[in-house]
Amino acid sequence: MDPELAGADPQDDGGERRGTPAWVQLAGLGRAGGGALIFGLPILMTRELWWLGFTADRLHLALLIAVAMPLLVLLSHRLGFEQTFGWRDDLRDALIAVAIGLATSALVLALFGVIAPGMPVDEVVGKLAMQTVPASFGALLGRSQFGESGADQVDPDQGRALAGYGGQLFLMAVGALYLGLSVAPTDEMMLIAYLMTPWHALALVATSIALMHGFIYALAFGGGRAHATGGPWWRDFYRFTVTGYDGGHQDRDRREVVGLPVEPENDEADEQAQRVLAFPAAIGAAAARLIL
Amino acid sequence: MADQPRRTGPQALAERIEWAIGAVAAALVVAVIGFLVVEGLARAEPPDLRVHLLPLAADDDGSLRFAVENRGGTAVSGVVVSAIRRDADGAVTDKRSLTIDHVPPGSRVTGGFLPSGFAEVVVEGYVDP
Repeated sequence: MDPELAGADPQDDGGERRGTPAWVQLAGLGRAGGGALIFGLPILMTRELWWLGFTADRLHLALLIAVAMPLLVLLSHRLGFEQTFGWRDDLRDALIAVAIGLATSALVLALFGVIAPGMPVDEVVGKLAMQTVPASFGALLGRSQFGESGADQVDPDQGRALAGYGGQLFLMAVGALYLGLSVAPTDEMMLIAYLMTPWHALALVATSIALMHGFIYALAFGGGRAHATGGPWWRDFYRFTVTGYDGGHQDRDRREVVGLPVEPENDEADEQAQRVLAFPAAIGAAAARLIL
Repeated sequence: MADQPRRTGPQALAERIEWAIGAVAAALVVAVIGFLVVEGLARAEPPDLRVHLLPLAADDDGSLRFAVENRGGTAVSGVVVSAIRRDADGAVTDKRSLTIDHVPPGSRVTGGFLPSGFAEVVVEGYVDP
């Protein structure tokens, strides 16, 4: 990693040691570990995720990591560990992010006693695999969001790769995937669905879409933006908010792909659960557009 | 695509360190995915639950301690374990039950019934997760 790009100035008052390549690498990995911890902790402390580590189909768990890899590579290209120079670098950084996600999950679960010596390897690997994807996103984001001032200014040429409409939708999908995956496996998803009437569901859909639009355009959050197209408000509303909400909504289908629990025998409750899950997914999609 | 800038000196060293870390990370990720795929393809055995009593410890309060093992290849949920009492003919005359959330494949869960004169423990059933 380039010391200058990584934000460590050898002339800084941190001394010469902080400017060495090894130190800079270590600091970058430390920030990535911090990001993995912040993003991973909510689900590292969720028992349903531990259980899925041994009840979920092994092939689905492998698929979960495999599907996350292209997303991580694209995300790395946008704002990963460093300003990368090519797709090989992005792939390497994505792999490092997954490894840091695994290592951070292993450390925290071991501290909690959720994994321990004597446990079947199958169970330990399953529990770690289940936690790895959100932690990996955190590792990539942690490096870019927590770097020293000036460390992670993204080169405009580099950012251009994901600056288009497709890139924006991709970032929203990452946000929806992260927040959706964090809450999807919990029992509360179905419990809330059972508590809600169809009127509640309708109100939740409207609230989700309104909050999403407000996050990005109306409430002037840092990172928010004016209406991008310069056209009437409803054009951005349709292009980004409604499409983003639908993307967040599809998060539930991805949940099925990786074998997370759904209630296929109860269509009505299942539909309600989709509305419930779309709420955090929509917020995640909106937040991703602000943060990334 | 524009030519990539070539790094020299400390930058080159940093690059080598990062590629070394990347190689270790790649090995780890491939190992995890490979392990899961192999397990996924091999794992089709049904659950096989066994229960046995654990010996009383010297400082034990007299609880009936037991261990439930899953020697099969599939996890189970809601495992109902019962302590039973039988009459002289072997018929069950009294029973007390508890439920274990999950028993993963290859693992062992221990528990106990508070002192009440029971001397036998059985697994009554489970549900698929």
